[in-house]
Amino acid sequence: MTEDDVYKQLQTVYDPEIPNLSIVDLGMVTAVAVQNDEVHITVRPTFIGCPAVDWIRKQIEEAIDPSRCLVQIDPSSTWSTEHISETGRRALKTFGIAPPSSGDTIMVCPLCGSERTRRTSLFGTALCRSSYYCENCRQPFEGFKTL
Amino acid sequence: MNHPTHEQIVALKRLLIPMADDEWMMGHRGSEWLALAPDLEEDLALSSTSQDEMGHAKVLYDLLHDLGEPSADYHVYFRPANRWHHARVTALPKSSWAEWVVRRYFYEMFDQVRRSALERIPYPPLVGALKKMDREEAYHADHARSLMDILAHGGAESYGYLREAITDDWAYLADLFEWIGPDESWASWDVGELAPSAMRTRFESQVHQDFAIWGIYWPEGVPLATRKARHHDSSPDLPALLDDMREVRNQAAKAHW
Repeated sequence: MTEDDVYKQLQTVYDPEIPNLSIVDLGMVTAVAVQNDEVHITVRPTFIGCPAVDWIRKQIEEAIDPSRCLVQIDPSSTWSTEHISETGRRALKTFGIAPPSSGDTIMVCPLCGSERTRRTSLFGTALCRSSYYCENCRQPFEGFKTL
Repeated sequence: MNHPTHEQIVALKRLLIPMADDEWMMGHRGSEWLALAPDLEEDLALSSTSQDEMGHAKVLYDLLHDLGEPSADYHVYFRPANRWHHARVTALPKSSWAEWVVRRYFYEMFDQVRRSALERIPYPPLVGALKKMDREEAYHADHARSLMDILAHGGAESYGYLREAITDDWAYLADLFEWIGPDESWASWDVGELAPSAMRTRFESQVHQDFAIWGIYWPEGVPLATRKARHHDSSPDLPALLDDMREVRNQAAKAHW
Protein backbone atom coordinates (compact mmCIF):
# COMPACT_ATOMS: atom_id res chain seq x y z
CA MET A 1 0.00 0.00 0.00
CA THR A 2 1.45 3.38 -1.00
CA GLU A 3 0.64 6.75 0.54
CA ASP A 4 -1.47 7.56 -2.52
CA ASP A 5 -3.47 4.38 -1.95
CA VAL A 6 -4.03 5.44 1.66
CA TYR A 7 -5.29 8.88 0.59
CA LYS A 8 -7.58 7.25 -1.97
CA GLN A 9 -8.97 5.00 0.76
CA LEU A 10 -9.41 7.96 3.14
CA GLN A 11 -11.60 9.62 0.50
CA THR A 12 -14.17 6.98 1.51
CA VAL A 13 -14.26 8.12 5.14
CA TYR A 14 -16.91 10.78 5.51
CA ASP A 15 -17.98 13.32 8.09
CA PRO A 16 -20.83 11.53 9.90
CA GLU A 17 -23.15 14.53 9.55
CA ILE A 18 -22.20 15.54 6.01
CA PRO A 19 -22.13 12.16 4.28
CA ASN A 20 -20.63 13.34 0.97
CA LEU A 21 -17.71 15.28 2.51
CA SER A 22 -14.59 13.18 3.06
CA ILE A 23 -12.25 13.83 5.96
CA VAL A 24 -9.50 14.54 3.41
CA ASP A 25 -11.51 17.32 1.76
CA LEU A 26 -12.56 18.59 5.18
CA GLY A 27 -8.86 19.14 5.87
CA MET A 28 -8.61 16.80 8.84
CA VAL A 29 -5.79 14.58 7.55
CA THR A 30 -2.40 16.18 8.24
CA ALA A 31 0.01 13.29 7.61
CA VAL A 32 0.12 9.82 6.12
CA ALA A 33 3.15 7.57 6.36
CA VAL A 34 3.54 3.96 5.28
CA GLN A 35 6.38 2.21 7.07
CA ASN A 36 7.04 -1.48 6.52
CA ASP A 37 3.64 -2.94 7.07
CA GLU A 38 2.20 -0.14 9.20
CA VAL A 39 0.10 2.80 8.12
CA HIS A 40 0.42 5.90 10.31
CA ILE A 41 -2.27 8.53 9.88
CA THR A 42 -2.40 11.84 11.74
CA VAL A 43 -5.65 13.79 11.88
CA ARG A 44 -6.55 17.05 13.54
CA PRO A 45 -9.90 17.67 15.21
CA THR A 46 -12.13 20.40 13.76
CA PHE A 47 -14.30 22.01 16.45
CA ILE A 48 -12.94 21.35 19.95
CA GLY A 49 -16.11 19.79 21.34
CA CYS A 50 -16.95 17.77 18.22
CA PRO A 51 -18.15 14.38 19.47
CA ALA A 52 -17.39 12.62 16.17
CA VAL A 53 -13.61 12.34 16.56
CA ASP A 54 -13.56 8.83 18.07
CA TRP A 55 -16.10 7.62 15.54
CA ILE A 56 -13.99 9.01 12.70
CA ARG A 57 -10.91 7.30 14.11
CA LYS A 58 -12.71 3.95 14.00
CA GLN A 59 -13.90 4.57 10.44
CA ILE A 60 -10.32 5.32 9.37
CA GLU A 61 -9.03 2.11 10.94
CA GLU A 62 -11.73 0.08 9.24
CA ALA A 63 -11.17 1.76 5.87
CA ILE A 64 -7.45 0.95 5.93
CA ASP A 65 -6.97 -2.22 7.99
CA PRO A 66 -7.51 -2.24 11.76
CA SER A 67 -4.61 -4.66 12.28
CA ARG A 68 -1.96 -2.32 10.86
CA CYS A 69 -3.41 1.17 10.91
CA LEU A 70 -2.32 3.59 13.65
CA VAL A 71 -4.37 6.78 13.90
CA GLN A 72 -3.04 9.66 15.92
CA ILE A 73 -5.29 12.58 16.87
CA ASP A 74 -3.16 15.72 17.07
CA PRO A 75 -4.95 18.39 19.09
CA SER A 76 -2.01 20.77 18.80
CA SER A 77 -2.61 21.24 15.06
CA THR A 78 -5.09 24.04 14.43
CA TRP A 79 -7.79 23.30 11.89
CA SER A 80 -9.54 26.17 10.19
CA THR A 81 -12.25 26.40 7.52
CA GLU A 82 -9.53 27.45 5.07
CA HIS A 83 -8.36 23.85 5.16
CA ILE A 84 -11.55 22.70 3.39
CA SER A 85 -10.64 21.90 -0.24
CA GLU A 86 -12.49 23.17 -3.33
CA THR A 87 -13.99 19.69 -3.71
CA GLY A 88 -15.04 19.91 -0.07
CA ARG A 89 -16.73 23.28 -0.62
CA ARG A 90 -18.63 21.84 -3.58
CA ALA A 91 -19.65 18.82 -1.50
CA LEU A 92 -21.04 21.12 1.19
CA LYS A 93 -23.08 23.01 -1.38
CA THR A 94 -24.42 19.81 -2.94
CA PHE A 95 -25.46 18.60 0.49
CA GLY A 96 -27.32 21.90 1.02
CA ILE A 97 -24.93 23.72 3.35
CA ALA A 98 -23.42 27.03 2.24
CA PRO A 99 -19.61 26.79 2.36
CA PRO A 100 -17.79 29.05 4.85
CA SER A 101 -17.44 32.63 3.70
CA SER A 102 -14.29 34.66 3.99
CA GLY A 103 -14.76 37.86 5.93
CA ASP A 104 -18.17 39.51 5.66
CA THR A 105 -19.15 38.25 2.24
CA ILE A 106 -22.81 37.41 1.71
CA MET A 107 -23.87 33.80 2.19
CA VAL A 108 -25.22 32.56 -1.13
CA CYS A 109 -28.26 30.30 -0.80
CA PRO A 110 -27.07 26.75 -1.61
CA LEU A 111 -30.58 25.87 -2.81
CA CYS A 112 -31.33 28.63 -5.36
CA GLY A 113 -28.10 30.64 -5.62
CA SER A 114 -29.67 33.91 -4.47
CA GLU A 115 -27.72 36.48 -2.47
CA ARG A 116 -30.91 37.72 -0.79
CA THR A 117 -30.17 35.84 2.43
CA ARG A 118 -29.99 36.78 6.09
CA ARG A 119 -28.55 35.04 9.11
CA THR A 120 -31.22 33.99 11.58
CA SER A 121 -28.88 32.55 14.25
CA LEU A 122 -25.14 32.28 14.84
CA PHE A 123 -25.74 28.64 15.74
CA GLY A 124 -27.25 25.72 13.88
CA THR A 125 -27.91 21.99 14.16
CA ALA A 126 -24.20 21.17 14.63
CA LEU A 127 -21.22 22.96 16.16
CA CYS A 128 -19.93 23.92 12.72
CA ARG A 129 -23.04 25.65 11.34
CA SER A 130 -25.06 28.86 11.55
CA SER A 131 -28.70 29.25 10.46
CA TYR A 132 -29.82 31.40 7.50
CA TYR A 133 -32.99 32.23 5.60
CA CYS A 134 -33.26 32.83 1.87
CA GLU A 135 -35.70 35.63 0.97
CA ASN A 136 -35.75 34.47 -2.64
CA CYS A 137 -36.72 30.78 -2.37
CA ARG A 138 -38.10 31.29 1.14
CA GLN A 139 -36.24 28.37 2.58
CA PRO A 140 -34.20 28.16 5.74
CA PHE A 141 -30.69 26.81 5.17
CA GLU A 142 -27.46 26.34 7.07
CA GLY A 143 -24.04 27.81 6.40
CA PHE A 144 -20.69 26.52 7.61
CA LYS A 145 -19.24 28.77 10.33
CA THR A 146 -15.98 30.47 9.48
CA LEU A 147 -13.19 29.53 11.87
CA MET B 1 8.65 27.06 28.85
CA ASN B 2 8.08 23.66 27.30
CA HIS B 3 9.08 21.94 30.51
CA PRO B 4 7.65 23.84 33.46
CA THR B 5 9.33 23.58 36.86
CA HIS B 6 7.56 22.04 39.84
CA GLU B 7 6.51 25.49 41.08
CA GLN B 8 5.22 26.43 37.64
CA ILE B 9 3.23 23.20 37.43
CA VAL B 10 1.59 23.98 40.76
CA ALA B 11 0.79 27.50 39.53
CA LEU B 12 -0.65 26.23 36.23
CA LYS B 13 -2.92 23.85 38.13
CA ARG B 14 -4.17 26.66 40.35
CA LEU B 15 -5.06 28.69 37.27
CA LEU B 16 -6.48 25.97 35.05
CA ILE B 17 -8.63 23.93 37.45
CA PRO B 18 -10.93 26.91 38.15
CA MET B 19 -11.24 27.62 34.43
CA ALA B 20 -11.91 23.98 33.49
CA ASP B 21 -14.54 23.70 36.23
CA ASP B 22 -16.26 26.95 35.16
CA GLU B 23 -16.43 25.79 31.55
CA TRP B 24 -17.78 22.40 32.58
CA MET B 25 -20.46 23.88 34.83
CA MET B 26 -21.60 26.39 32.19
CA GLY B 27 -21.85 23.52 29.72
CA HIS B 28 -23.76 21.35 32.17
CA ARG B 29 -26.19 24.05 33.30
CA GLY B 30 -26.64 25.16 29.70
CA SER B 31 -27.56 21.63 28.67
CA GLU B 32 -30.34 21.64 31.26
CA TRP B 33 -32.10 24.30 29.17
CA LEU B 34 -32.28 22.03 26.15
CA ALA B 35 -35.87 21.75 24.89
CA LEU B 36 -36.92 24.45 27.35
CA ALA B 37 -35.54 27.54 25.57
CA PRO B 38 -38.10 30.06 24.33
CA ASP B 39 -37.57 29.29 20.65
CA LEU B 40 -36.03 26.68 18.37
CA GLU B 41 -33.02 28.83 17.44
CA GLU B 42 -32.07 29.15 21.10
CA ASP B 43 -32.52 25.45 21.64
CA LEU B 44 -30.06 24.77 18.83
CA ALA B 45 -27.69 27.47 20.08
CA LEU B 46 -27.71 25.91 23.56
CA SER B 47 -26.74 22.53 22.19
CA SER B 48 -23.75 24.10 20.42
CA THR B 49 -22.63 26.44 23.21
CA SER B 50 -22.94 23.72 25.86
CA GLN B 51 -21.06 21.21 23.72
CA ASP B 52 -18.36 23.82 23.05
CA GLU B 53 -17.93 24.59 26.77
CA MET B 54 -17.73 20.91 27.68
CA GLY B 55 -15.18 20.40 24.89
CA HIS B 56 -13.12 23.30 26.21
CA ALA B 57 -13.30 21.88 29.72
CA LYS B 58 -12.07 18.52 28.36
CA VAL B 59 -9.09 20.20 26.66
CA LEU B 60 -8.19 21.92 29.94
CA TYR B 61 -8.59 18.72 32.00
CA ASP B 62 -6.35 16.99 29.43
CA LEU B 63 -3.73 19.74 29.82
CA LEU B 64 -3.97 19.26 33.58
CA HIS B 65 -3.58 15.52 33.11
CA ASP B 66 -0.34 16.18 31.20
CA LEU B 67 0.77 18.17 34.26
CA GLY B 68 0.17 15.19 36.53
CA GLU B 69 -3.48 15.58 37.52
CA PRO B 70 -5.88 12.62 37.31
CA SER B 71 -7.89 12.14 34.08
CA ALA B 72 -10.75 14.27 32.76
CA ASP B 73 -13.16 11.44 33.64
CA TYR B 74 -11.97 11.47 37.24
CA HIS B 75 -12.40 15.22 37.50
CA VAL B 76 -15.93 15.14 36.15
CA TYR B 77 -17.30 11.84 37.42
CA PHE B 78 -15.46 10.93 40.59
CA ARG B 79 -13.98 14.04 42.22
CA PRO B 80 -15.48 14.87 45.63
CA ALA B 81 -17.57 18.06 45.90
CA ASN B 82 -15.00 19.88 48.04
CA ARG B 83 -12.37 19.51 45.30
CA TRP B 84 -14.34 21.46 42.67
CA HIS B 85 -13.27 25.08 42.10
CA HIS B 86 -15.83 26.67 39.79
CA ALA B 87 -17.31 30.06 40.63
CA ARG B 88 -20.74 29.62 42.23
CA VAL B 89 -22.52 31.66 39.55
CA THR B 90 -21.67 29.05 36.90
CA ALA B 91 -23.40 26.29 38.88
CA LEU B 92 -26.51 28.11 40.15
CA PRO B 93 -29.62 25.98 39.63
CA LYS B 94 -31.76 26.81 36.63
CA SER B 95 -34.22 29.62 37.38
CA SER B 96 -35.60 32.06 34.77
CA TRP B 97 -34.60 32.47 31.12
CA ALA B 98 -33.51 36.07 31.85
CA GLU B 99 -31.23 34.80 34.60
CA TRP B 100 -29.62 32.36 32.17
CA VAL B 101 -29.15 35.11 29.55
CA VAL B 102 -27.54 37.39 32.14
CA ARG B 103 -25.37 34.60 33.56
CA ARG B 104 -24.15 33.68 30.06
CA TYR B 105 -23.40 37.30 29.20
CA PHE B 106 -21.42 37.95 32.39
CA TYR B 107 -19.59 34.67 32.04
CA GLU B 108 -18.66 35.18 28.37
CA MET B 109 -17.37 38.70 29.06
CA PHE B 110 -15.33 37.43 32.00
CA ASP B 111 -14.08 34.42 30.06
CA GLN B 112 -12.67 36.69 27.31
CA VAL B 113 -10.72 38.67 29.90
CA ARG B 114 -9.44 35.52 31.57
CA ARG B 115 -8.34 33.86 28.31
CA SER B 116 -6.41 36.92 27.20
CA ALA B 117 -4.66 37.00 30.61
CA LEU B 118 -3.81 33.28 30.49
CA GLU B 119 -2.52 33.59 26.92
CA ARG B 120 0.38 35.62 28.28
CA ILE B 121 1.76 32.61 30.14
CA PRO B 122 4.63 31.23 28.03
CA TYR B 123 3.44 27.61 28.10
CA PRO B 124 2.89 26.66 24.42
CA PRO B 125 0.34 23.84 24.93
CA LEU B 126 -1.87 26.24 26.92
CA VAL B 127 -1.51 29.15 24.51
CA GLY B 128 -2.32 26.88 21.55
CA ALA B 129 -5.46 25.55 23.25
CA LEU B 130 -6.64 29.02 24.26
CA LYS B 131 -6.15 30.45 20.77
CA LYS B 132 -8.36 27.69 19.39
CA MET B 133 -11.00 28.39 22.02
CA ASP B 134 -10.92 32.10 21.16
CA ARG B 135 -12.21 31.41 17.66
CA GLU B 136 -15.19 29.41 18.94
CA GLU B 137 -15.85 31.70 21.88
CA ALA B 138 -16.12 34.73 19.58
CA TYR B 139 -19.47 33.24 18.49
CA HIS B 140 -20.49 32.80 22.14
CA ALA B 141 -19.73 36.40 23.06
CA ASP B 142 -21.66 37.82 20.07
CA HIS B 143 -24.57 35.53 20.79
CA ALA B 144 -24.65 36.34 24.51
CA ARG B 145 -24.71 40.05 23.66
CA SER B 146 -27.51 39.61 21.15
CA LEU B 147 -29.70 37.87 23.75
CA MET B 148 -29.09 40.71 26.23
CA ASP B 149 -30.00 43.16 23.48
CA ILE B 150 -33.32 41.38 22.85
CA LEU B 151 -34.30 41.54 26.53
CA ALA B 152 -33.12 45.14 26.93
CA HIS B 153 -35.17 46.33 23.96
CA GLY B 154 -38.12 43.96 24.23
CA GLY B 155 -40.41 46.26 26.20
CA ALA B 156 -41.06 47.00 29.85
CA GLU B 157 -41.75 43.41 30.85
CA SER B 158 -38.56 41.91 29.44
CA TYR B 159 -36.52 44.87 30.66
CA GLY B 160 -37.89 44.23 34.14
CA TYR B 161 -36.86 40.56 34.02
CA LEU B 162 -33.42 41.63 32.85
CA ARG B 163 -32.97 44.14 35.67
CA GLU B 164 -34.07 41.59 38.25
CA ALA B 165 -31.68 38.96 36.92
CA ILE B 166 -28.77 41.40 36.89
CA THR B 167 -29.45 42.28 40.53
CA ASP B 168 -29.63 38.59 41.47
CA ASP B 169 -26.42 37.58 39.71
CA TRP B 170 -24.36 40.66 40.53
CA ALA B 171 -23.57 39.50 44.07
CA TYR B 172 -22.09 36.27 42.73
CA LEU B 173 -19.76 37.81 40.14
CA ALA B 174 -16.96 38.49 42.60
CA ASP B 175 -16.01 34.81 42.81
CA LEU B 176 -15.20 34.62 39.10
CA PHE B 177 -12.10 36.77 39.52
CA GLU B 178 -10.48 34.62 42.17
CA TRP B 179 -8.00 31.86 41.45
CA ILE B 180 -7.15 29.14 43.96
CA GLY B 181 -3.95 29.45 45.96
CA PRO B 182 -1.87 32.54 46.68
CA ASP B 183 -1.16 35.14 43.96
CA GLU B 184 2.58 34.55 44.48
CA SER B 185 2.15 31.20 42.68
CA TRP B 186 2.34 32.79 39.23
CA ALA B 187 4.51 35.76 40.17
CA SER B 188 7.47 34.29 38.28
CA TRP B 189 5.68 34.91 34.95
CA ASP B 190 5.27 38.61 35.71
CA VAL B 191 1.83 38.68 34.03
CA GLY B 192 -0.03 41.55 35.68
CA GLU B 193 -3.24 40.68 33.80
CA LEU B 194 -3.63 37.55 35.96
CA ALA B 195 -4.22 39.61 39.09
CA PRO B 196 -7.89 39.39 40.16
CA SER B 197 -8.03 43.20 40.46
CA ALA B 198 -6.73 43.63 36.87
CA MET B 199 -9.26 41.13 35.47
CA ARG B 200 -12.07 42.80 37.40
CA THR B 201 -11.16 46.24 36.03
CA ARG B 202 -11.14 45.01 32.42
CA PHE B 203 -14.44 43.18 32.91
CA GLU B 204 -16.10 46.20 34.50
CA SER B 205 -15.02 48.51 31.73
CA GLN B 206 -16.54 46.22 29.07
CA VAL B 207 -19.80 45.65 30.95
CA HIS B 208 -20.16 49.33 31.86
CA GLN B 209 -19.90 50.20 28.16
CA ASP B 210 -22.51 47.58 27.17
CA PHE B 211 -24.90 48.64 29.95
CA ALA B 212 -24.78 52.22 28.65
CA ILE B 213 -25.87 50.98 25.19
CA TRP B 214 -28.73 48.96 26.67
CA GLY B 215 -29.81 51.72 29.06
CA ILE B 216 -29.11 49.59 32.10
CA TYR B 217 -28.25 51.31 35.36
CA TRP B 218 -24.65 50.64 36.36
CA PRO B 219 -24.66 49.14 39.87
CA GLU B 220 -21.13 50.34 40.69
CA GLY B 221 -18.18 47.98 40.82
CA VAL B 222 -18.30 44.23 41.25
CA PRO B 223 -17.99 43.41 44.98
CA LEU B 224 -14.77 41.90 46.29
CA ALA B 225 -14.61 38.18 47.00
CA THR B 226 -12.95 36.32 49.81
CA ARG B 227 -9.82 34.41 48.89
CA LYS B 228 -11.76 31.19 49.54
CA ALA B 229 -14.42 32.09 46.97
CA ARG B 230 -13.69 29.06 44.80
CA HIS B 231 -13.69 26.53 47.63
CA HIS B 232 -16.91 24.66 48.25
CA ASP B 233 -16.31 22.92 51.56
CA SER B 234 -19.88 23.20 52.76
CA SER B 235 -21.92 24.02 49.69
CA PRO B 236 -25.44 22.62 50.20
CA ASP B 237 -26.30 22.52 46.45
CA LEU B 238 -23.18 21.01 44.99
CA PRO B 239 -23.55 17.34 46.08
CA ALA B 240 -27.06 17.31 44.57
CA LEU B 241 -25.78 18.81 41.33
CA LEU B 242 -22.98 16.24 41.11
CA ASP B 243 -25.35 13.33 41.84
CA ASP B 244 -27.62 14.54 39.09
CA MET B 245 -24.76 15.07 36.64
CA ARG B 246 -23.32 11.63 37.37
CA GLU B 247 -26.58 9.70 37.54
CA VAL B 248 -26.22 7.92 34.21
CA ARG B 249 -22.51 7.25 34.64
CA ASN B 250 -23.13 5.82 38.10
CA GLN B 251 -25.45 3.18 36.66
CA ALA B 252 -22.24 1.42 35.67
CA ALA B 253 -19.33 3.43 36.98
CA LYS B 254 -16.70 0.89 35.95
CA ALA B 255 -18.00 0.38 32.42
CA HIS B 256 -16.13 1.67 29.40
CA TRP B 257 -18.27 4.43 27.87
